[in-house]
Amino acid sequence: MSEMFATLDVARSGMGVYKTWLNAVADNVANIDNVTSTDQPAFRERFVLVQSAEDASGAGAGARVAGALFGDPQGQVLYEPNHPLADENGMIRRPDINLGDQMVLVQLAQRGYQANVNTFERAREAYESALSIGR
Amino acid sequence: MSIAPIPSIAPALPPAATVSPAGRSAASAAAPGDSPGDSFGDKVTNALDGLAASHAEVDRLAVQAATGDLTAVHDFTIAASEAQLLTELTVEVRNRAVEAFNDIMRMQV
Repeated sequence: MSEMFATLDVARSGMGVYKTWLNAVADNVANIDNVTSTDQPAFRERFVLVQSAEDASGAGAGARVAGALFGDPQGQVLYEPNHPLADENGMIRRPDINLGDQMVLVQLAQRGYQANVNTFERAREAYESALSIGR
Repeated sequence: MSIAPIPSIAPALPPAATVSPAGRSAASAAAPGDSPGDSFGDKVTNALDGLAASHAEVDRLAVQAATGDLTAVHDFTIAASEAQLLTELTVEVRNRAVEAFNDIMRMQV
């Protein structure tokens, strides 16, 4: 989009970032109970790497997802001898992810997304009021 | 008796304000490549090209939404809002230009 509605693009980039974060947290929650044998890595918690996007004016061009980072593949080694994946010592591996933490992150990502939607709406209203100047 | 100029709006106007600035600002923002020498008609045409491109983008995203290929919901709603704003801006510029023209046509000589 054009320079004219730059704020809308900035808000859009923010929404994109928070959407990606929501995806990552949802993935963490979806895989939180994955069990692997001890010779396999556990599910690794996903972290989204976000950087600010710079533009020529210095006012900033929003945020962008620069990549993903991954948590500890060690996970938690637990004693569950009845589990089909348990090794000879009765140990299995589970991801080291705290569900409570993930729910807080979901809340943060949701609020961040909503904040960007609000920014968008305010900017749109401002542009619309500019159209009515002198009417 | 002389009529004093209106000082309050004078600073807001660009230097050498003519009929074209309203069209220039709209057209140059929608199509930054055009040169300052273009006529008002060229500028309006450029702005309309930008508007058509914006609506084509909305149509493309609407098709993606209908076929389930849309990756982010906000992409569509934002594009729709931007196209709406751009349409309102273009209509406003056109209305102001026509208004100015009519004002001149009504002028008593």
